[in-house]
Formats: sequence, C-alpha cells, structure tokens
Amino acid sequence: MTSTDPLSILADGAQNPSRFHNRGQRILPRKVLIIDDERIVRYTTSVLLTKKGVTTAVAETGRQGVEMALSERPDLILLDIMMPDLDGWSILSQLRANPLTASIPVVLFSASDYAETVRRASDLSIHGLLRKPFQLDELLKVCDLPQS
Amino acid sequence: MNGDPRLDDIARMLERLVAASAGSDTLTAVERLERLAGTVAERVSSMSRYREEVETRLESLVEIITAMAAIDFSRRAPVSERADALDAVAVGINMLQEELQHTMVSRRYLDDILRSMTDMVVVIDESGAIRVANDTFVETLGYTRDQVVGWHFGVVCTKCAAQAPCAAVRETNGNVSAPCETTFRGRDGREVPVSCSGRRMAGADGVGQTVCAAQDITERKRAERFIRQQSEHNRLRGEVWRLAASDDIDEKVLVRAMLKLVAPALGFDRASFSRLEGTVPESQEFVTEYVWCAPGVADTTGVRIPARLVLPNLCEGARMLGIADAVSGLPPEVRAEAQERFATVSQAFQTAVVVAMPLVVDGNVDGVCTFDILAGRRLEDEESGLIGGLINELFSILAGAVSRRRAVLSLAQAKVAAEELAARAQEASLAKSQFISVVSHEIRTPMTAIVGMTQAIEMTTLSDEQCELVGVMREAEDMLMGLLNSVLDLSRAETGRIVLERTELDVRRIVEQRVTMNAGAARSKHTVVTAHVDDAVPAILLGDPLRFGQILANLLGNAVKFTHGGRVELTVGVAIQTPTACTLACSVADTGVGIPADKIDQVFEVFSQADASTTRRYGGSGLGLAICRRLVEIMGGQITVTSEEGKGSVFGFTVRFEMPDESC
Repeated sequence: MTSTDPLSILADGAQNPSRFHNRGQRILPRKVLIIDDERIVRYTTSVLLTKKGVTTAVAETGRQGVEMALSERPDLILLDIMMPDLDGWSILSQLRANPLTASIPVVLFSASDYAETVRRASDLSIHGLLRKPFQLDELLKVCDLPQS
Repeated sequence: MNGDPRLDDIARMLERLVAASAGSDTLTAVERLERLAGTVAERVSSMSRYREEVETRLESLVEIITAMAAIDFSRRAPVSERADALDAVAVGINMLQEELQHTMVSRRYLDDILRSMTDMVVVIDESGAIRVANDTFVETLGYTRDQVVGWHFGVVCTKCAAQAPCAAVRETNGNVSAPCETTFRGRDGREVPVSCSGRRMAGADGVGQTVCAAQDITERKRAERFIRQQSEHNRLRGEVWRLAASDDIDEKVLVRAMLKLVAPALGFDRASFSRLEGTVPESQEFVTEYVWCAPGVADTTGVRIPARLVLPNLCEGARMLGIADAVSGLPPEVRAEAQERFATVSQAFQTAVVVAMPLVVDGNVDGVCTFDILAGRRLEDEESGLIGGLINELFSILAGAVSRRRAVLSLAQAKVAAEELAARAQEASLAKSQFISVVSHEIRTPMTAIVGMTQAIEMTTLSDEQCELVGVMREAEDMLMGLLNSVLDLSRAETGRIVLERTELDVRRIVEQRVTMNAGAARSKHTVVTAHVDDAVPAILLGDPLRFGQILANLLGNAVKFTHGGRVELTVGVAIQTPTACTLACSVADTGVGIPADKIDQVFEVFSQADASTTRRYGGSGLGLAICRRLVEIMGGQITVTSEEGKGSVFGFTVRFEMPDESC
C-alpha cells in the first residue's frame, strides 16, 4: 500500500498537458538531451530512452547543458532542478532567453519537494514534470513516446 | 462666805450695831437685831434659790448654743414669765436659731446641688482665688477641698495661668461664656482635658466673682483621637494598597517605600529593614539598615542582632516585640526571657520601643522590619494595640505583594524557559524535518537508478527465474518508496508545512477511486469492499482532494490488510452543514482481526502497530494512522477508533470542507 500515491499527481500532470505549455502537434522526439549532475541518473535515463530508440545526449553541469542545447539541438530536454552550478530554473530561463533554444520542450525532473516543484513550475511554460524515482511508463508518457 | 459683797456689808453693819448697843436698851436692840437677822436670813435664802435657778437656766442656754454650734436646731431656749435679762437672752437665742436654721437649710440645698453635679464647678473671686469647689472638681483632680480653696485658679487651669478667669470668660459681661477647651492639672501632674464655660456675677458680699463649670472631655478627646487615627490608618491602608499594586516597582523598593510611608504616619522615630544573613540558624544575624529616620534621630545602620534573640518570639506569634505591654502580655514562663531579649534589642538600637515585624513571604522569614521609638517616649497601651494591629495588617498586604511579585517573576522566568525550550524543540523539529527532506532527496537519486535499471533489465530477454527475481526487486522498490513518502508526509505534518489546497472536490468520485484501488487486494483476500455516500453530501465541496483521498486510502488499505475473508464498509455522511461549510462524518468499518484494548490508545502514535510482530505479518510502515490523524486535524476534524479483538475495527473521522460559493 502506498500512502501518498505520487502516481496520481503524475498521472494528472501527464494526462492534462493543458496544465503546461502544449507544443501543438506531437512529434516523436528523436534526440533527448539529459542534463543531470548525477551520473547514475544520466546513465539510467539514457539506457531506458536508448532502448526505446531515442538518441540521447548528456550534460553533467548546467553550463554544459545550455551549450549542448545549442550545439546538439535536441527535440526535448530532461532537466534536473538541483544542480551545483546552475539550477534547473536558471537553465530554463537561459534556454528561454535564447531564440535558438526557446522552443525546445523541457521536462523537469526532480528529487526534492515535489509539491513545491509543481507550484513553481505551474507559472512556467514547461512540457512536463517527472518525480524521481520514476517508472518507465511515466518517462515515456512525459516524453510523448509510445508506451510499450 | 458666799462671796456676795452685799452680804459682807450686812455682816459688818451687824458687828457695828452689836458694839454700839452695849449700854442701851439692849432688849429693843436685840429685838431689832433679831428681826434684822431674820430678814437677812430670809433674804439670803431667797437669794441662793434665785442663784440656783439662774445657774440652771444658764446651763440650759449653754446647751442650746452648743447644739446650735453643732447645727442641731431641735430645741428652743425656754423663756420664763419673769421676763428678766436671761429671758431676753433666750428670746435672742431662739431668733438666732431660727435664722441660722433657715440659712443652713438653703446652704445645704446649694451644697447638695453642687455635690450632685457631674460637672466640675468652681467659684473664683476677683483676685483669681478659688473660693468654692465642688466634689466633682476635687475628686476628678485628686485634691481635697481644703487644699484648693484659696489657690489661684491658674494653678489648676492651664488657660488661666496668667489671669483668672481667662479672657474668654472676662469678656462675656454677665452672660455664660461659650465653652472653651483647656486642661486642668491634677494632683499627680496628669492633665485632664476639659470643656469649660464661666459666668461673672456679684457675690453675696457684693464682690464680683466668677462661676466656672467644666466637663471632663477625656473620653471625647480619646474618641476624637481614635476617629482621627482610624482615618489616618485608613489613608495609610489605601496608600499601602496602592504601593502594593504598583507592579512596576521592584520588591526591595517596595519594602523601603512602605516603611518610609508608615513610620512617620504612625509617629515612629525610625524604620529599618533587617535582612536575615547566614544559613546556619545558630549564627544567623539580622543586619539592620535604617530606611527612614526622623530629623535629628541617630541612624544606627549596620547593627547586627543575633537571629536567635529575635526570631523565636516572632515565629511563636508574638509579633509585637518590645512594646512593654506586649512583653507583659506573654505567658509568665517566657516573659523574663522576652524581656531580656527586648533589653538586648533596645540597648543595641538605643530605643524604648521596637515594633518588629517579620516579613514572612510564602512561609519564609525574609527579614524583620522594625519601627522604633527612641528612649524617653512610649506608646499608650491603647495606641500600641491599635498600631500593632494595623502594622500586622499592612505587613500582610506587603507580604502578599512581595509574594505576588516573586510569583510573577518566576512565572516570567518559567515562561522564558518554556519559550526557549519550545524554540529549541521547534529548531530540533525543523532540523529533523530538514534532515528527512535531504535524506529523502539523497535516497531518491540512487532509487531512480535502481528503479530505472530494474525496468531496463525487464526490457531484456530474461529467463523465468530472472523474471521472478526482478519482480521481487520491483516489489521492494515500491515498499521502499511508500515508506519514504510516508516519512516525508509525517515530517511535513509535524512541522506544520502541509498547506492544504482549496479546490473543487467531488466526494463520490474520490470514494469510488479509492475503493477501486483497493478492490484488487481485497478480492485476493476474499474480502468485499463496499462504499456508501449519503445523499445529503453535497456534490461539490471546496478542499484538498488529494489529502482527503489519502486519508481514505490509508484507512481502506489498513482495513483490507487486516481483514481476511470479511467485509470492509466505507460510509460518508454529513455531520454539520452550514451555508458556508460542511463537516463530513466518515467511517471505515471492517470485520478484521481488531485491536487489543490495551493497544487501542496508541494506534494513532508514530510507529505503533499494535504488536511489533504485526509489521512483519502485515507489512506497512506503521506511519499511516499517525499521518491520518494529523491530516484530519489540519482539516478541522477528529479521528476515533473502536475495536474488538477478533471482531473488527471501526475508524471514524470528521473533516470540514467549505461550501462552494453559489453566486460564482
């Protein structure tokens, strides 16, 4: 028995894309940039996406993430919030500030206080939210990938 | 011889006749002589009879006069028919007697009046000498009448010392003067306060004199003084109460202010506070500090008095120490000792009177307040009694005020300490919650990899055995995440960090969802889960749907977990409905194992599954009910449980939701 049932929030967020910015026509992302300071998270996420046929690029710092968003031109960015140099929110505003990256959909994933993240994210045009640890289904759904 | 010259003359004539007749006609001569002798003898006899009569009459007159002198007017002087000189005297005596009798009666009448008067009456002449004084006058002042008659009135009346009668009486011109207050000096030097009025008039001898009538007003004066004292005492009481009530002044200042206030008002020469120093009873001393001294009175601050001299008496209840009467009023067996103590104390303080008052606060002697009267003066008995009583009263006010101050102070200290403790507890609680939050974050990162990798493995081709092993891993991951989320929830609830959402809430939909979620588990245990939402429950309410759902999920989950092949029944009704709010009454009843009576009080505590082994048998973190209780409480409700071991349990709770605004 799970008492808080975080799934229900995620389900709500994922099922109601209107809560976040809807990027219109669904295009299956071919390339996803993963920005996370934790190697094992980058690796795990990368492995799961690769198994679903998606190309991944990984950045381990915020700065590197912003650079790679420009150089790699990913179809979607998975962005961790708590990072040592630049946090997810700063990176998000930098990406939004640059016309070349402004339109790339961003999914925030976070291990910290989820309620707080939901509250802050609701003011920003983001594509989705993912709480760590996440289930494969959730990852696929939030990345607009077909479920297995 | 009888001594009568005439009889001697007759005798001499007879001798000459006898000599001359020697040669003559002797017979004739003898005859003549015999006749003469007969006449003489007759005369002599008659004379001596008369003489006896006169003597008798004279004696009688003397007796009457003697009786008159003794104011006995019972007999009158006899008057004979002879009407001789003695009769004239007797008549005169009788007239005098009548006159005297008349005078004496009126004099006695006057004296009786004077004697029966309760006023002191004196008559003084123009020179100011006392001529008449009545019994009341002499008795009141302790004189004898003989003493005072002839004294200048100024010896007695202090107002008449210069001139008697005093100007007040002199100027009245024949009328009775208005009463004037003065004092009369008594025989033993005591002074008697009197109210005196006088009238000048002409005396019987035509000489001017003054009648003064005076009343002893000692009692009136005493009553007046008593009333004055009472009003003064009342004023003091008021002032002391005011002092005691001024909470902004410190305890020491309060004691000193009171001594300064009371000592001069009650006529003392000095006031001191003697602090009790030392802890061993034998060596304890009172160290005197004079707080107030009348002008010109020596300040003997610093004098030390052994406590054993003072304290026992005070503690025995002889609160007034030093007033001679207080000492003499003690039982004989301790009187000598008390007197000795008083002698020591009064010698040390150079005083005649010491009124000592222990300041007893909350049953402890804090020190002794003393009021002194210097040698040479003393308090009147009555006064000392009154003052003693008053001081007693004032001191209980003071002790009360000091005690209250201390209570306030210790309360304030306790409050500060409690606040510090609370702050520390709050800090600790925050620290704990931060720690939990950080740890939870740190756990989530590796868990992401574990969960992700488990699923990545599942995507590969696995043997049956590997499939089963990976399945166990996933189950373990779910359990771990459930525990982690519970701990976080509880931590948030305990630090008050749960912020309820206020959004539209559909009770029926939430109930349906939660029943559905538990249906699978229930079915596998052959348990039936039913739900009933009363029609009175509004379709839409305002509140936090997620938290409401969480409470239901917890209770339903528990009920299903502890029930094997039975029933779980969820009901929702309305407890209180107002236009703005709706309190729901919900219950989850099961036919499960139940909770032992001795464990039922603890089910809402953190980590308190009824039996530690329960965790092993039924799983779960043991945090679910603790979280439920906190959620229910922050949603304005209460949660209760009734249970019977082996029969089942009923968990009931209320939650308060707002009614949606109809106008919107």
